[in-house]
Amino acid sequence: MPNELVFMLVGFSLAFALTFLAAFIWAVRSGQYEDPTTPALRVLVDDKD
Amino acid sequence: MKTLPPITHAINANATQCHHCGEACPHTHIHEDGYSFCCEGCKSVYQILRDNNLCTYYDLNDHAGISFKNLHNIAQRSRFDYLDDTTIAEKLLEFSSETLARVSFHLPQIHCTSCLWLLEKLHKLNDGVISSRVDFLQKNVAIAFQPHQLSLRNLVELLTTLGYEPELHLQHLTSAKSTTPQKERQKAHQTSQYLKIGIAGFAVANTMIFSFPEYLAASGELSEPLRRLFGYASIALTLPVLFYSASGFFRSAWQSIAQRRVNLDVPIVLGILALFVRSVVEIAHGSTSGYLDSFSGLVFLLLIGRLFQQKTFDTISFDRDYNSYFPIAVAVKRLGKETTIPLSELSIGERLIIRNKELIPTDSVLQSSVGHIDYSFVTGESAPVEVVQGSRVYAGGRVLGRTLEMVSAKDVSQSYLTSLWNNEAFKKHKKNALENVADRFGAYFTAFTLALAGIAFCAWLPNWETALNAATAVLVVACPCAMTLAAPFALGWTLKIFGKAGFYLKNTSVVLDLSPVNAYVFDKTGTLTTSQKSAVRYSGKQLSAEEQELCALALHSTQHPLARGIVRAFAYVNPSDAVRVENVQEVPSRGVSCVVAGRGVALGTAEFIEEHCSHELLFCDAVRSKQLGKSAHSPTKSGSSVHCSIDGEYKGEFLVQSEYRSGLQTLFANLRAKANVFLLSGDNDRERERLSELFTNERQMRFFQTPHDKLEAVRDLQTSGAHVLMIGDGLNDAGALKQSDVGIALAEETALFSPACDAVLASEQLHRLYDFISFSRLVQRIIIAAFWISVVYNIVGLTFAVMGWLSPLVSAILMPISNATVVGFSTGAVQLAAKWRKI
Repeated sequence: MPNELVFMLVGFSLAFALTFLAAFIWAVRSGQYEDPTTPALRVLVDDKD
Repeated sequence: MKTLPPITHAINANATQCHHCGEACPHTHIHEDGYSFCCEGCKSVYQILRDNNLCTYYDLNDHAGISFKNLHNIAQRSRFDYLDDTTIAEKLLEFSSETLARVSFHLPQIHCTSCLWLLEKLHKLNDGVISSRVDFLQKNVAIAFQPHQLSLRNLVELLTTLGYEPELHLQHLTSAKSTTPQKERQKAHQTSQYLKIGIAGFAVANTMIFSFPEYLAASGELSEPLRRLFGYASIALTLPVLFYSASGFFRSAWQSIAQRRVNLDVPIVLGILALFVRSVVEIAHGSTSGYLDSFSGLVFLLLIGRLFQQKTFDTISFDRDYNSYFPIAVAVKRLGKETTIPLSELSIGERLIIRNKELIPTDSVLQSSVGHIDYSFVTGESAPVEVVQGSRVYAGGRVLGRTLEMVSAKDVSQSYLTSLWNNEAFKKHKKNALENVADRFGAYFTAFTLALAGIAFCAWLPNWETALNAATAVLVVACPCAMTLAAPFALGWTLKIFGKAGFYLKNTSVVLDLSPVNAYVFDKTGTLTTSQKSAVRYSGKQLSAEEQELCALALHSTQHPLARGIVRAFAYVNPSDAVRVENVQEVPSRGVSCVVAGRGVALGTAEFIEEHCSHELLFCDAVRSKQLGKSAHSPTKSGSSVHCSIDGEYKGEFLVQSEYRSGLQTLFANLRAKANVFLLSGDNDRERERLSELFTNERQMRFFQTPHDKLEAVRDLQTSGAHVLMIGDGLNDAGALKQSDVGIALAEETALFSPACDAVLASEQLHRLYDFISFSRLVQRIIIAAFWISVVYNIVGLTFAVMGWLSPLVSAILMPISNATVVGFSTGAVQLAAKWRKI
């Protein structure tokens, strides 16, 4: 039974999942959840120049 | 009698639209660059935007501009004088230093992406602006600017010229700096709530992976080191859930125990603690892989339930009082010179100057000879009141027509209107129905689970291990999910469904307050009637199109409110036409006469017209046969009438009536079937007869009610055992709204002013009130049904627990299924019910 392999894979999967958690924490902290409406409209009216 | 023909639409369709705001342009166009504008205000905004290369504004949305037609005093520059006052400016600014100042304004005019675009381009219009950022839903703009280049006053004036006049009321003086920390705390709370949910969700998914061998009943096949790895990894993943995500439950449970009470969080904390501790023990012991997937799943769902329960409508304010209605400053005359002073510095004996449409800030004594004041917002009286020199005028009244001078007689906080807020009804905190029920439920539930755990323990007693096992299992399995999940989800969805239908509740708990209502109290003016329009009926000799125009033009020359009501019915005639109106003679409170296009027109009371009629006999017959009284504007049974003569010939009378909202008959029939319906009107009783169709019982109608009377009337009803729902619209209803069990403010425009209340109802939805009430009763039944579902699950789970059969697998199956069914049922049932009831 290749136990070491499973150990490694568990480590990988956790690391992978943790990056997403980190991304989520960053998104919340940088205020992206505070006003979901205005940025969506702002992108529509961006300048031509 | 017949209503005036709706010529309005036909003519408007042909008229040119204003390039800026899209309103119909009058016959005489105002041109610029080949575009037409309805007024100089719109044209000047266009010029500003063109000169600054900001015409994208018009490309984004057609006719995006704010109409200047409804703005008054626009030319009155001095009304922003008070912003030069450093103490006021200091209070409005959120931050200020030599080089940078920050301020937030509420701009109720924000309505489209063009507004957003332009307001974020302010720096192109003025170099003093560093940046501006719009919050579209809240209709706020946050502006950073350089105070030495651009003063606060200039900034406000800049916004006002563009048509976005900031809302500046007395409350903003106390709020800018003092509420900033409060807002930040709120923001921090929201951020941490999302983080808690995110971390719990992360833990659920990953602990489930580690529990997978257990689900497949294959944990025996795992090697010992791997089993250990999975177990400890699960513990590591759930530690943040226990210490961070669930921290709110621990804090709340601890607080309630410290006060020797038991709230709903106590059994929750018991459950999750038992789950965690038992899991850690079993993992360390090596007997099972623990229940940590169930643990984090439970915390995750509970947090989401809580998020649902806290749902509110950010864009609507439910806690406004007179402070958010009164202006910041008032114009006064000192030593013969007019200046503007902050309202907070207004003392007794000051000479105030109040212009058309402005609010009287405090009880005063009139100095001008005669004037008209609209008290509809304060007293509910629909017809404007005529006041003469020396008479007392009250705070909250709106001046109509000519500018009035008055001497203040009371402090702002002591006036007739504001003293309402000193009533004890405003001091007591209304109890939250949901929290009440939940806490009582929590107490019973805790007692029940602890008792059951004790019984299970004792029953197994000689066998210590099984006894402990069974007792903890009881704590683990027992889940008060009817209260923690079913109610928040059902109520949260109801809030959302109501919101879509134009009925905005302050919080989820109000849904529960709505169902036991058995007495409905209505205000009249602005609630049953619309303040927006009045029905004008004409009776007498047929008026030709030309004669109608003559009347409209004559009425345009006066500011009398009745005249304006009639003019609105003649909306298709525009006063700026080439036709000359000459020799205007207005006799206050009697009528107006003038010469239009060479023809003499007179409109007014019966006596006034009598004096202008050459064919006196003819007139007398026409009027007296109808037996009209001789009082001013002859208030008949309902409505006021204005008589009319052209070239000395009596034509007929206009009857101006307040218009009732549609659908009231059915609404009242429904409401009366199961509850008592009352009317508390601040107005006089001349519409008693019309109203008796709605309120069948004479005793249920009360007229001439002061704001204090209304409050007392509601309190009396409550002492007689009624659960009162009050529905009103003005400041005069504020006390009654606060005192009643459910106070609903009716609003023509939900973003604008509404007094403190539990719910805001869009005025065009009033006829659906009964549907909303019966729906909230249905929701309550849905919650009770969900409660029985959770009882069934608890019986099954507790049987496993008491028998000592609880294993991680049983828990992993039972807990998610029971939680999911309860959440699914309450969500689905509420949605289906809404569809069925067509809410």
